[in-house]
Amino acid sequence: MIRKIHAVLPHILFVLLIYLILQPSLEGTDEYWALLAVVVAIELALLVKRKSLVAADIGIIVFLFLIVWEYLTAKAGVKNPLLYPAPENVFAIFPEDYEKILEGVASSLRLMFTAFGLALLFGVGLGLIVGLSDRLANTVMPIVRVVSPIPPIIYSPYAVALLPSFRSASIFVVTMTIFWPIFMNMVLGVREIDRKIMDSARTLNLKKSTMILQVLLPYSLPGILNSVSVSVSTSFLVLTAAEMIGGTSGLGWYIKYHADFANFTKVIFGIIMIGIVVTLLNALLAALKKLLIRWR
Amino acid sequence: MSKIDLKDIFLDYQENGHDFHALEGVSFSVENGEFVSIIGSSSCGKSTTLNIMAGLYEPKSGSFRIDGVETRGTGKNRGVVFQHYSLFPWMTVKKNIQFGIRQNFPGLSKNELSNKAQEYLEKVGLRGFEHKYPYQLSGGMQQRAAIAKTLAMETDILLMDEPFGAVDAKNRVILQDLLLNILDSTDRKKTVVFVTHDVDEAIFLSDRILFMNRKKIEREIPVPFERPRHRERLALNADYQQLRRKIVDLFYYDEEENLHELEGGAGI
Repeated sequence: MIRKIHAVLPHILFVLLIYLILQPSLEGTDEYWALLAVVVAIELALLVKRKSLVAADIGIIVFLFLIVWEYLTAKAGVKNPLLYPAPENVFAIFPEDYEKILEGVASSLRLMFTAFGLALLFGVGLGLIVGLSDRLANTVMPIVRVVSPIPPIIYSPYAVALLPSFRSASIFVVTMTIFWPIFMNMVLGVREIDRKIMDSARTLNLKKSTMILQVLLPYSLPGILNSVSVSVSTSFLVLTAAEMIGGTSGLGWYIKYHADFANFTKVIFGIIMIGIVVTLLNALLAALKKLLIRWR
Repeated sequence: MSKIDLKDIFLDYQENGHDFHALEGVSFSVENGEFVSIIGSSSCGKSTTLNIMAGLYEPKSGSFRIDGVETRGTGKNRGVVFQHYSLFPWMTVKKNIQFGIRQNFPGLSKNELSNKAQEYLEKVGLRGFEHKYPYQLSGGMQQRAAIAKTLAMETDILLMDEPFGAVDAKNRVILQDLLLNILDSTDRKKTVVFVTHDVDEAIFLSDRILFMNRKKIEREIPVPFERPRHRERLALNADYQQLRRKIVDLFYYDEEENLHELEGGAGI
């Protein structure tokens, strides 16, 4: 019985929310359609996942939040609309501003992917070189343990001064955030590979390149991918912070730019967009992990 | 000339800054096509000896020859089956076998590679499991795949380090039969060195048993039974039982001696 109510509750809240939206003040405007679209999209997602209790819980929380938000801002009118924009106004930013937003997302993502590419290239490459030599590893790793905990965002003022453009400075800082975990995992993978696997590989008389590509890399891949997924959120934080400090494009810049004009409607929308982008990135990475590490 | 020849092999290892002897003058030889088991209690040095032959360890002194040639390091003339991890966990069963073949026959086309792998897969009864990853197989099936991989490399010498040590009793017997069947059916006779601590396994499989104790070969025991061997018939054979008793006694004899030493030590 309780279970049944539990499953129906989000849909009841959905109807309540729709009732709230249908109040005459909004009808027919862009804002009205934007809010309606978001709410219906969430309801559709819930209907697809209707077997899952967790989805129902999440639905309840999201709808409750939207009801309270909508009621307090648009209906009761208790707050200053400049500081506390109504949900319809926030969601309506997308049809109004989508070109700029998508451009911002694309710009942020391009920067992220460039940084990830560089970090993977250098992290795996240098990690292999250092990991394969006792002497190098013994020399380099104590230094790495001192340097790697320094938060890379600290380098940004200096990087801006040294590097030709703000964008390259951002790439450098974000790359550093992801580089360390990948590098450390690669060195660890090479140096602490299970001796039994190593013995087995050695008895096959592998060429060095085969040993690296077919044994050491696949062995280290799970560790590397784990460290990458941990650093996705951190690196996005670093990236948006960098964009806020001095970027001319990207989501961080979008938020900072509109905050300067006290357009908090757009600020809130930008924050929601960042949440969506990070979630999508994480989902992408999870899918990649599933694809590449089928063997565990 | 013997196929494999070890003479006065010594090996030390370090632990906590102290030197320990791992092998103290191991000498024996194995003839071409012979199946020899090395047997002994834990840490007697049997696996270490096999690792020397595999080329994974370098002896401190002594001579290790294959076909009369002094040998160091791993080589394409030897295939090794371990108790664990003879397969790479990130490759499917068939990919593992193909990977092994490719190292010894780099000239093969993709098709030839696949056919050869399939042939050995079927020899060990793993048809239908080509695309499974090792973690999806039972321990016994993993060892079947490991044997297929090593046999497919078609080396003269087969080194096996307790390959059935982690397999349950029933599958162990099945795998022993399988191994003997395959070895009997191949045209080119393989030379096999097989490390085990299971007396029955050693007798059933071998032409000769080397009993190792205290880091050296202490006894050489010929196994006179004709091939092909039948497990049930062998078990009823009085000679078999006598031989078995003799080897089991070797294990216990030493243990008693150790006990005496311990008691003597405690008295001082």
